[in-house]
Amino acid sequence: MRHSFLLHLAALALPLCALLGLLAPARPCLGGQTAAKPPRIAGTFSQYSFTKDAADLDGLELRIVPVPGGYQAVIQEFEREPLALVLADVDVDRDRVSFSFRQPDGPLQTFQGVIAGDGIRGTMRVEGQAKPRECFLARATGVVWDQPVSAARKEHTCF
Amino acid sequence: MLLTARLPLRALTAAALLCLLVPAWTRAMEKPPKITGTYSGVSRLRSLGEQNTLELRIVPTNEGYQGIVQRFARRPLRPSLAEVAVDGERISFSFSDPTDGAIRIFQGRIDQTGLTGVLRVKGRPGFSYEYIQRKTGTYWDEP
Repeated sequence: MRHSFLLHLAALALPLCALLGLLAPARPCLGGQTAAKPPRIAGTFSQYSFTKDAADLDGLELRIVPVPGGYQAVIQEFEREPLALVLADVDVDRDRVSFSFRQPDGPLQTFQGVIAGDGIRGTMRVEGQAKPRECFLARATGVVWDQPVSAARKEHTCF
Repeated sequence: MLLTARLPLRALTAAALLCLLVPAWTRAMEKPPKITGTYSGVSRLRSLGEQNTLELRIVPTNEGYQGIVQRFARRPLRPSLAEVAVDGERISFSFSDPTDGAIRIFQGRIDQTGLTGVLRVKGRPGFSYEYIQRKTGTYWDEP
């Protein structure tokens, strides 16, 4: 009697385990293929370097914020001096982001990249220049202006 | 006898002088406040849907200070560029609100902890008191 009960239990448990084994990879909470969270789009991203004499800064800071209907970017470029802030609409297609902007009287610049947890990797195309520039904008907390200058210089080595 | 009577008087005079001079001297030695940085009134303790506040970032540019303001009116609105004027610890900035086109003007003081002042809408009566705290990064920088 007891033996047949155990057999019944095993007969029920085996298909259940098989079913769980099939479903588990598809369940996000169990770490399956669909568990990959869409990347966080909003945040601050930057790529800059101090010049050899460490007196000036080159690079770009980008802050993406959600707005009604999508995302918008606030961009500040550094060309040995900080340039004016520029606003740009950001196109987002899952992990792909792109935006275009221009400095007053400057060429149109278009960025296309892929966003991940640690930053945005992509290319910057400048109107009138044949070769796009590869860049990686690292995700950061705050901008260079949020920290004392000495701390910012320590963090970003010169090259 | 006369000398001993005068001593406390001299000491009192010197102490009074010191009391007057030391605060003035320490004020003169105080560093001017750092202007650039991120300032935010957004609280992580409440949902965005309950908040009417703003975030401001002030940066130096080749043409002076410039600001970017994002207002939160129960939801994040489109950012606006702002012109920032600084005179010692006094600070003011104005920006055109993207939702209604109204010009909003902030006038107040800046110190190491943040901005304190009043925000009003140009051409309309009334104002609101604002304290916008200095922060490292914006609401959007944190997960």
